[in-house]
Amino acid sequence: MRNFFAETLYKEIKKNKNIILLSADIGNRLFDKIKKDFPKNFLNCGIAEPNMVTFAAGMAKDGFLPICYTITNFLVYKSIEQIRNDAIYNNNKIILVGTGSGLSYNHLGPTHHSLEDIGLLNNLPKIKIFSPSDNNDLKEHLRYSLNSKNLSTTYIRIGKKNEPLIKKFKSKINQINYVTKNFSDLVLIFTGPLSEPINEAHGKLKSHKVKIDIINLHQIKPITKSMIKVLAKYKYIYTLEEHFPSTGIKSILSSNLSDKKIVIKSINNKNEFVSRLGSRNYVRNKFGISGDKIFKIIINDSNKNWH
Amino acid sequence: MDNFKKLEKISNTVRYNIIKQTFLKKSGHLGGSLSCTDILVNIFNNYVFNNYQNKFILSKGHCALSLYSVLYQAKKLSKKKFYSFADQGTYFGEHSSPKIKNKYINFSTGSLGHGPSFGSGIAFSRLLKKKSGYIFVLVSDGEMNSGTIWESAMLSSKLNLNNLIVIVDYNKFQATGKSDEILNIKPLEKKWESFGWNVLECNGNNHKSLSSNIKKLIKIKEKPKILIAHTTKGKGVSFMENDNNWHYRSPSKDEFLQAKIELGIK
Repeated sequence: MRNFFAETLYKEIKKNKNIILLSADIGNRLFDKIKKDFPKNFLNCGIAEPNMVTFAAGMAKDGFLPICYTITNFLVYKSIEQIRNDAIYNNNKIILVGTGSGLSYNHLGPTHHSLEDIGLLNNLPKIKIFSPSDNNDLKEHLRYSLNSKNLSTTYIRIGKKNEPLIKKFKSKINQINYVTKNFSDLVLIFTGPLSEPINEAHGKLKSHKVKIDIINLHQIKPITKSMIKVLAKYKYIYTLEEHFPSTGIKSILSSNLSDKKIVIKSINNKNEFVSRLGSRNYVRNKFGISGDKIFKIIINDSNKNWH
Repeated sequence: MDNFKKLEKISNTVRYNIIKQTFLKKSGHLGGSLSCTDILVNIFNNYVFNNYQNKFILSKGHCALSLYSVLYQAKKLSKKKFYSFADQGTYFGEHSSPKIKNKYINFSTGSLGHGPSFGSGIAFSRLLKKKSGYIFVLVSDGEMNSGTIWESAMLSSKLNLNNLIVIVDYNKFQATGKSDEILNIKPLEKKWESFGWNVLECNGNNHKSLSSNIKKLIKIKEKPKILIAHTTKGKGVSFMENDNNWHYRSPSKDEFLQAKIELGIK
């Protein structure tokens, strides 16, 4: 996803010289092409994320369109006050792109995992939060964020590398994006690059004749009225996210649908740091994310006539 | 009347209006607002009101009352708005609000240590666009405690932001005591020099000293610039000077009237 981000951004800068990419000393070689062809549109701000964000707000005040890029946890946790006060409160539009989100940096441990960023930023007024499931989503989110008519600060939570493309309709801003639509009472809603466990679970559920819809929640804030209208049709919602459910999409959907009679359940239900490390799949498993777990939870509920 | 005398007179009026507000509204950071008054008066009258390309950023946002008072004195802020300070439903709070539409209020602060980062962003943008003008940022000595001040000091010097002028209102106090004792901020001038900045020191409560040093800084073509302006907290009123109780205290009627006499306001 980050390579695709660099390629897409190169094309955008080619069209619009007001875009400037700020990095907190990350992305070694990733932006070589931008640095070579558009040296004025890239700046390494050093390992000083809060300064980078306020500096970006200052550039925005003077007419630039700055993108702040670094690993999600540093970008969000170190700079939350700068994002809140200097970008959002002071109406200076910047674009925050967090890379290696969720458990992408599996081996680097909890200091590099971001399982709270959605919750922290969702709490802030006016910001828009996007969580692309693949490169096609990312392209749409970038296109929207860079559009001069959109005056909000946006946050794009991207993965790392080799995320597969998902077979789905094109994601549109402010709309629900279906991966699978069977007109079921059940829906599995995920966010981020989780197609592997989703596909695995979907195959198993299909072979057990469980009918389920699947939604890619690529836009987390705002949850629009038309999105709520679509979601309100369901009786059972399962959520899946590389994020703590207490403040992630589980919580956000629950609060948006609180006046509806919908049972909302999170597949990943842990609220602890993932300290035992391993491959991405191993760490996901430890956090409660796997195709098998999705399948078991849903099939158990089915067998209990829960649905 | 020469220019310095004029500026001194303006400073007295600005100080009087600050004190009057704190007396009427029982609100406001008085000590720090009085220490930086001359700096604000000097920069606005010499550089900002007469050149729209020069911008001012108040990093020590708790002294917004001082900024309002300077704008009010110069008739850049209406009486009605100025006297809405700390009223119910006002946008003119102890920190300025982005809801205030005034071309001299560019950034709403409140949390310390943000102004230099923001000002440097504007300054860099100006250099990229080859636009002229200087960005003035007023910080407190207490703000030297903040890590972002030094993050921004390094980036500004790497980028050679010669259009950025930071002024430290070095009144030697912060909220709960002497700034030199709370953290080891000395030697301030050497710290900034070692970060790659042009450093000058001046008497920040003296217009002649302020004017000549800012002029000198503007003439320098390389590197970002910082003016360490030595000031007195509570400046202008004998019983408020260097008494840190006035960091956040409002005067009684007798104290207000006494201050009025000392400032020569009729």
